[in-house]
Amino acid sequence: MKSNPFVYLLVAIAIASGATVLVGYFFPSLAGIKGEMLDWAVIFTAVLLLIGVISLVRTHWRKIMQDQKDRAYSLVLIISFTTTLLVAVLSGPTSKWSMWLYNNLIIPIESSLLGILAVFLIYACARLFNQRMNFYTLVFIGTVLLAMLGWLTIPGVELEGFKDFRDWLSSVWAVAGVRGIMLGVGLGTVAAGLRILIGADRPYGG
Amino acid sequence: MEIVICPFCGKENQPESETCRYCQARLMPLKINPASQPDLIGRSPEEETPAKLKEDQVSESQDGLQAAGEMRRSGAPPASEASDWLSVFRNQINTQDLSPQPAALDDGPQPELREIHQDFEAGAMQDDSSLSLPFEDAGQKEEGPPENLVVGPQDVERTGDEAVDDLAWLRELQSQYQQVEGLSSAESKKGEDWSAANELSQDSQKRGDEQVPSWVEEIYAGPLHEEEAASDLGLSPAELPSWLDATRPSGTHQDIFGIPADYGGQVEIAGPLAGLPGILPAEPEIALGRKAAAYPAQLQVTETNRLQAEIFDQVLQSEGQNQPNPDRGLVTSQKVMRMAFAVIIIFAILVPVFSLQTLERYQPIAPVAVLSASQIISSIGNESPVLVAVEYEPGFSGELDAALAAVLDHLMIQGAFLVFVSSNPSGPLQAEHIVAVSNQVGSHQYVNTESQNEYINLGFIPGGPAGLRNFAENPRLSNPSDISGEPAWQNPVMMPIDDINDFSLVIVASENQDKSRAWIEQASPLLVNAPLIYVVSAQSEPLIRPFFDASPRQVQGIVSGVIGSVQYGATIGRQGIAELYWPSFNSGLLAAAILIVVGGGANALLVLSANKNGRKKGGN
Repeated sequence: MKSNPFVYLLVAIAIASGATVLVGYFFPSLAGIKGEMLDWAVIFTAVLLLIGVISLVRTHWRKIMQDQKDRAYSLVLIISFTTTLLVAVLSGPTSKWSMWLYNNLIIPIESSLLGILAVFLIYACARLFNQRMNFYTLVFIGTVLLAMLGWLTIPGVELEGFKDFRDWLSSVWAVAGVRGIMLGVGLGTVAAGLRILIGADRPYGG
Repeated sequence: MEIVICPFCGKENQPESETCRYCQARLMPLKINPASQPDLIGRSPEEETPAKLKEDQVSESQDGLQAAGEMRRSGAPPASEASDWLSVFRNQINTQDLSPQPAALDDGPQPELREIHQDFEAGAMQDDSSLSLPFEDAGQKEEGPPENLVVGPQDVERTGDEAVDDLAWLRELQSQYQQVEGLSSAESKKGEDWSAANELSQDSQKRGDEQVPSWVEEIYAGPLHEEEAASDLGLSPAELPSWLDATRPSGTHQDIFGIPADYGGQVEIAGPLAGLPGILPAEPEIALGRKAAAYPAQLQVTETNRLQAEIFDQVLQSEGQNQPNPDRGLVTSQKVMRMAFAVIIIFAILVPVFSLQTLERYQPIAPVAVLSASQIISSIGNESPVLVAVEYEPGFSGELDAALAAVLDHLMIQGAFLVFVSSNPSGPLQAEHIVAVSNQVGSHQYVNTESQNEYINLGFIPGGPAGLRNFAENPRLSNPSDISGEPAWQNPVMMPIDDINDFSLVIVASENQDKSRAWIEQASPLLVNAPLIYVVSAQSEPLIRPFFDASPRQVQGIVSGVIGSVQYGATIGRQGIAELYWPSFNSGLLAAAILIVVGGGANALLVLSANKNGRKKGGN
């Protein structure tokens, strides 16, 4: 590491902040300091969100001004952003017009994307044998079908066995796998926190 | 810029440099100082005696510091000034007794040489006797060859070994001379002027040559007059074959190398050829300053290498560019198949809508997680503050709206005071949306106006997990106002709330496992009395179930997806929007399962058939 005094300052601030919040969990008398640090973190994050919005608009504005490729999409983004901002500022964030934009533009567009994704996933499952035909493919396709059949209700057809099998898969296999994942995530979070606390990991730069 | 190439080491030097700065070889002809060498000025080449030429040759070869090929006109002596002590030394040599000492020649030259050596080392040249050079004495005194060198008729039949023994005195003479030369070199290395030492050796050699007896001159001149000696012996010149004679150059070396006619009068003054006239002028052309060669900047490569380099450059250039997808045509089998899949699924979803088919069959038994959530909400009293975290994206509204609307419908029936919050930027609007959807389910109408305030929307919680923790510990400070900017905590229901545990119930609706886990990690430790219920999508249920199965439970109830919504409605005897969704959901799910089975089976058969044909072809 280069001997940059600014880096040492960053490391000192990060370690002091993390240690203060951590100690605040163990000593209730320091909860006030911990809360103050959390308030700062929330404020900083809100400012970062604002900076991100400004950067997004600035980037697309530059693409339009420089006549770059796909500038039409940038133009759509600028128009949408400006319209939404004007509507929310002028009429309020939960006003009739704001909710109209949300209910008739944002929700249908995002839902359509998920609908397309569903179609592509079904098609990919059907062609999976064409790409790779082995034991694991059979297990994957079989599990998908059993889970789907467990949800189904077909008139005149008794599917209780599929339902029980789906519940068994969900409560045993899936939960067991998720618990392993959660343990790994927890250990990784602790390790990452310790690395930041001792200054070995510096995601803030330096 | 002109440079001078050293003919010895080949390195470049400045044009004004007299000597090479790398090997110290002389680059420019030695200038004559007439004041210091008046006796050498004005002498013509004819006046140079062979002895003098020999003297120059020997002296120049000894110093080894003058550049080869330095040419000067005959009569231009080397201009090297001797230092004073060398002049004294030269005078002492001139005046010393050079009488021959036969005994010394035969038996005892070494003590005298050691004495000379010691005198040179000490720098004291006071004793003339110590400077006597036996070979010079011999040259001065001996008029004829020594007796042991006189070859008489009786000695002709001597064997070769005996002849070698007879020349032992000559080898000793040579070794003595070399030692004296070594002493001179040693002195020059001690910091004295090298040119003075050179002059000293020249002078000493000159005196030696001047005093060399005639028989020694005959020995020296013997090889130079080989033809005369051969003619004297009656030998005729060799007759060359015609073909060999034809290969010999017809002209002289001056014609061949373009040497001026008067160049033969020049005498080489340096190098091993010093003293010889008519030497080919190799060095002057080499040492002449010339411009540095302009080497081409373009890499000299073969055509194959150039093509390979261009291909490699194109590959590198194409790395940063988006490659257009290959044109596969408007209609391909995969596009047709994808379109067919989409049409079948859309058809399966729309058929129940237009046929107005009702739900054929409910899930008969609700899971424990759904029953637990229903029982908890049933215990919520009127005007109880319930925190609802809307953490799902608008794209999942179709699934989670149905699940959350059933729960909110139950809460509205219970008369709970709903407090919406979200760590998702679109969450506050989604909360307004779900309230509107829930109002359509039942007869209740939750509104948030100045006159009637049945729910409140606290808006966005920035900061991720830290913001959630901050909100859980101090919601008043985290979100002091609602989404409209009005004070949020002046409502009578909200006033007793200081932290998240003061809410009667906390409901988290999310499809994102990270946000779901963040709420459990940050808020669950503070929830001592308030239960935590999750409304999640079907894909997230396995991720939340471990917290429900834990002991004690960190999550007290789970309602997942459309199925969970239907099951939850069944627990309270109500049919929510999930009832509207279910026929289409069920039909689409069945169509998807059929497509996977049929399409997967067809592809599997195709693959098996192709493999079978491949094996057959391979076997044939």
